[in-house]
Parts: sequence; C-alpha cells; structure tokens
Amino acid sequence: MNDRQMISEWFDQYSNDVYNFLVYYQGTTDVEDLVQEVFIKAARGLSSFRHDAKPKTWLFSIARHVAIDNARKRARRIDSSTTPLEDDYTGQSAHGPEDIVLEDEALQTLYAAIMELKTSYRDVVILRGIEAMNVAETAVILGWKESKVKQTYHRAKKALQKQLMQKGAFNHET
Amino acid sequence: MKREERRLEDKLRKFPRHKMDESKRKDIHDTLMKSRMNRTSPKKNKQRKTRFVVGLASVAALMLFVVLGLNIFPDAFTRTTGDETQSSEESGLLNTHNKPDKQTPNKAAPDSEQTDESNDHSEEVNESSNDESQENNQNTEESSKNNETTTNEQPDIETLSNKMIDALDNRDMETVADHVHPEKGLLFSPYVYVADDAVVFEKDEVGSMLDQDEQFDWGNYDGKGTPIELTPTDFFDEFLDMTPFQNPNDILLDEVQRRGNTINNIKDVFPDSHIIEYYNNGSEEYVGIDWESVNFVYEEDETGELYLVAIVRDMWTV
Repeated sequence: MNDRQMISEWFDQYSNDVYNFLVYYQGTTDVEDLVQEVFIKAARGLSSFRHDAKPKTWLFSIARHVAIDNARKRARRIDSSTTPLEDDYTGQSAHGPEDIVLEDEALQTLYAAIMELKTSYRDVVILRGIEAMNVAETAVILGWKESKVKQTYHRAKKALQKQLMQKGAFNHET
Repeated sequence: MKREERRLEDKLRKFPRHKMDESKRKDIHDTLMKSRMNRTSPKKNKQRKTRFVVGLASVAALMLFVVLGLNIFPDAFTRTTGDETQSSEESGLLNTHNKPDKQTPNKAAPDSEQTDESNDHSEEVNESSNDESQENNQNTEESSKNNETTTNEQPDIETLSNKMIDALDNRDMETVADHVHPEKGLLFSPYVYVADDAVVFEKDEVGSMLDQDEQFDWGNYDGKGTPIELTPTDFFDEFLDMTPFQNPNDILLDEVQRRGNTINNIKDVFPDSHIIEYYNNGSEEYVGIDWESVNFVYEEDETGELYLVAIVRDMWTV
C-alpha cells in the first residue's frame, strides 16, 4: 500500500472520529477545514509516523495540535484586529460552546462546564470521557505518562463535579 | 463519590457523535488525494546525520593542521603587520570573508551546510600536504581573527536584531529599511522552508511596505496548503507579531535547530549568511505546542557591515 492509499484509507476510517473530536475540542461544528488540515499534515508528515503506533491516536494528536494552533492564531487575530466586531470573529472565543447545540439541556450544561476547565483537564475529559479513548491511547495523544492520564482524569472529574454542583446542575441528573 | 464519578462518566459517554456532511467529506478526500505527500524524507535525515559526523572529523583534522603549522612555521604566526590589522578590521565583526575557505573552520558560521562543504574537502586536506604550510598560515591567521572577533560578534548581531524586533513590533519599517541589504532586499518567509518564489521587497520599498493595500502571495499555509494571500499589514499581524520574541527563551546564533518537520533551508538559500533565531518555547496553557521562532538572516558586505536579507518565521508544523 503506498502513502496515498494509506492516507485515503485512514481518511475513510477516521475522518469522522477526527471531526467529532475537533467539534468538541473547538466547541463548534465548523471544523471541516481543520479536518482537512489534519489529514494534509498527516500525509506530509507520514515519515514521522511510527508504524507501531495506531493511526487514530496519531491523527488525534495532530488534530489537537491543529486545534490549538488554530485557536492561538484566531486569538492573535482578534488581539491585533482594530475592528474586533468583524463578522468572522464576533464573540467567538478560542474555546467556547457557542456553536454546539445539544438537544439535551443537561449535556449542554455539562459541556459548558467542561469548556471552563483548565486545558489539561479539558483535554483528558474530552479524550477519556467523550471520545472513550483508553488510558494508553490518551497518553499517546497528550504525550503524557499513563499514570498522569489516570491522575489528571480523576482530578478533572472531581473538578467537573464540583463545578456542576456549584451550578446546581449535577444533583438534578438522574 | 465513586457512584457520582461513574454517573458523570456515563453522562460523558452520552454526548452525541457528530459526523461530517458526506459531500463535504468527499470534497476533503479529493483535495487530500491531490495534495503533495510526504514532505519530509527519512533519507534526507540520514544524510544530514552522516554529514554531521563527517563534519566533526573534518574539524578535528583542521585543528591538527593548525597545531602542526604552529610547530613547523612558528615565524609565520608572529607576524602582525599593519595589513593584517587592517584586514581584520575590514572583515567586520563576524569576519566571514567574502569567499570563505572551505577548509577553514569558521566559528561565525558553523552551520550544517558549510560544515558539509568542509567535510567534502576533508580528504583533499589530508592529501594536500605540499601546500600545508601556506594553508596553515592562512588558517591560523583567520582562526586568530575569528577568535578575536567571536567574543564581540554575538552582542552586535543580537543588538541589531533586538532593534529589528522593536522596529517590527512598532511597525517602524523605516528603521528596518535602514538595515536591509541594498541589492538583495528583504525576503519574508512564513516558515523555515524558504520557497523559491518567496516575497522580496527592495530596500527602498521596505520603508513604506505597510502602506500597500495590495495582496501578496506569501506562500502556502502549512497543513491547509491554501495560499497565504494577505496585504503586508495582514501578513505582519498574522506572522510577525513580535510579542513572543521580546523575552525569548533562547537566542541562537548560526545554530540551525530542526524544531518541527519543516525542512530548514535558510542556509541553502543564503549560504553566506548569519542567522540569529529568537525562540519562544510556548505557553503552559498549550503545553508548549505553541512554540515559535523568528530568524533574522544577515549578510555582510565587503566592509563587514551586516545587512538584513530575510525574516523567516518558524512554528509548529507536522
């Protein structure tokens, strides 16, 4: 299988997973361009892919980098813009739940709480919780040790519970 | 608490799965299949490593010749004529010479490519013992000049670059223009792979470049591959924010570090240059992924004056 075929196959298998991850990571469904960027970067960086690694974790790792880079660029453009009310950038923060509309109100509240967590907690909650990645996969994506993943996820869940309780949201869950 | 944690985990698993629109997915797939594959080749990396090893051998050989030369022709090194003094002054702070002798270790520009070149000649050096004494004289004189000037070179290039950072930060392009190479102009590259068709402004254009409303094609966005079509002002806002470099974590002079997967070809494009890199290792919030660099590339004229020939950015790429 040549590189092009491999990327094509990966795209078929994982593009929706990458899309779903980016939706939750960015807080918007408008992430198709980022998905494209992830796969183009993967195609160009194939030589750095360790073939004993899982393509999905590698792609998620690239997706996270792309998302962070995108948020940073967007924040910088907002900072440097002399007309901050331009259509492209009105009110949309680097990470915000504005665009995701979840039918389940409790999930919407939970998602808003996740996005208020500090970055490392948010990362691990999205990967372990929402994306259902296991500890080893999450460790690869975040470049952490597995023990750090476990510990951070545990702390993140506590922080999340605390936040939801403060909002009076968690107790109403069934 | 465990029950609550479990309940929270159950809730997290209930988030709906989002899928791309099928036609959009197909479009992306088509774009992907048309895009260029595998920009970095392992073969090239291997070649670089080999060259580095040979480079070390070459430096060792040259040092040996210098020592031999000192022993055999001690008189040659006690001459300190007015000519030499003048020559040293003329060669400027960085003392790279117009056409550096490939067999001469040049502390001012120990970049990989030049090391490669000297490597290629290391065998010639071993075989050419007839001209040894003359070469040794030159080597030692030049080495001596380099030693004299090395202690001064970094503050000067750094001072000039600090001035460039302040000027760029203030969008004071007149100040930048004062230091631009009169013939080569000033090249801008958004990434360390300097494209053949990178945007270059003439020296007399640089001062007013930010007044232009015209969009330029500055290259292609890494990843997306789409053209970076921006006015100079927009390009500066997006690629030349100097804030991270006001307090850099590292400043490297003529030390090419491969940080991302993008091939750094600055030395190929500007072989006789001095490159100073300002590196910011990124924020804790983004766990260092947002590292970035700006490289100022200078060339010397025959009087040793440094001229800015390129401003090259570097950042995370796959």
